[in-house]
Amino acid sequence: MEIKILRRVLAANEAVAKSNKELFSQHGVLVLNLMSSPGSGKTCIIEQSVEALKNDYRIAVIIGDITSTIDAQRLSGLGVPIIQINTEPFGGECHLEASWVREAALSLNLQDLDLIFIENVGNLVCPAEFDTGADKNVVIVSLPEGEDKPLKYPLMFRISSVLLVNKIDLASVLDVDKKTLHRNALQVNPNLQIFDISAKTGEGFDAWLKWIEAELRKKRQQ
Amino acid sequence: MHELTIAENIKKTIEEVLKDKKAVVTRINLRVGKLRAVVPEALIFCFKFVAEGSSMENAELKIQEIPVKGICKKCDRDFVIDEPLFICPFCGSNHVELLSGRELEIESIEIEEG
Ligand SMILES: Nc1nc2c(ncn2[C@@H]2O[C@H](COP(=O)(O)OP(=O)(O)OP(=O)(O)O)[C@@H](O)[C@H]2O)c(=O)[nH]1
Ligand SMILES: [Mg+2]
Ligand SMILES: [Zn+2]
Repeated sequence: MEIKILRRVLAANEAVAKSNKELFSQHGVLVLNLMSSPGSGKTCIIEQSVEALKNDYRIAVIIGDITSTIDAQRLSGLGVPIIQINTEPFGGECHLEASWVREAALSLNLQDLDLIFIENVGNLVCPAEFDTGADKNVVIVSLPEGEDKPLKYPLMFRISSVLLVNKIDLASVLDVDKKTLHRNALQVNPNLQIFDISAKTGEGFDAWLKWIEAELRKKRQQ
Repeated sequence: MHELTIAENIKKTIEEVLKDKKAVVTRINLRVGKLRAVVPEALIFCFKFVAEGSSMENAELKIQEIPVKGICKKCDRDFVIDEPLFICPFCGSNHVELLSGRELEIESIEIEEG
């Protein structure tokens, strides 16, 4: 006997993501979900961004390091709340699920926050599949990764609002064409906002921070 | 890894549908959009692994791949997208909305009631 069921396989995650969105907007907190391959600079970028914004805004960070608490420890010096998501001990999970983000968010005093950074698990495939409920997805590609990432992982670039091209301080020693990377990214998603930055030298951070502040204002007006 | 999580979610979803019903699942019909970057062989392999010992362990996973289709918001024509270039082949506009390609759904299952 055939039974029609027509169920989206990830429907459960999508439902939780939707309720996360409502939770975040109830409390007027802007949530940014940072995704990239391993080592592109998520932790460094969060570190620098929090450092620059923490005097003007109330910030927290949710970290999804699957194997260790190294990133959480690195960020603990910032003096803002850091929540480490405990991922499956055996699964070696490759993404954050909306329910874990929810649990982490609920352990924060959301009414006392303006901004939450989520550091997703280093991976360009799975995190694109699992909506966290964040207001905006931010994808990071570091220059040493080359120009082709948007063409190889189009879904990730489709669901993101911002592309941060990190490690541009290395441009002079690499044979990577930033313009081609931009063009590839815009081909996949013409609405992407692109910022070239270096989390090492701080180059390009002004424009990225201005974007965050504009989003914070939009959130407040809602 | 990706396929393993999807396989687990397929099993969970079917368990929810069947609840306490005593039935052996013989076939699972899936629709998977090309943008999902799912490797069918890997998904079948992972599903075998997660379904072991359950009423679906012998189920055949049938995967229908759905092409990525877009519609141009400028000239209103639709087309299949074979490579990750979201550009209208007719007018060159990059104002393309996706019509399909992100599906990841169980369309139906076939069961034998016991
Ligand atoms: N030269 C240079 N190195 C950078 C820059 N940003 C980060 N790095 C280095 O890149 C390495 C990885 O940075 P992380 O911030 O840990 O990257 P991540 O994306 O958080 O890595 P995972 O959490 O392991 O996925 C570190 O050694 C950083 O010092 C940059 O702008 N320029
Ligand atoms: Mg990190
Ligand atoms: Zn057109």
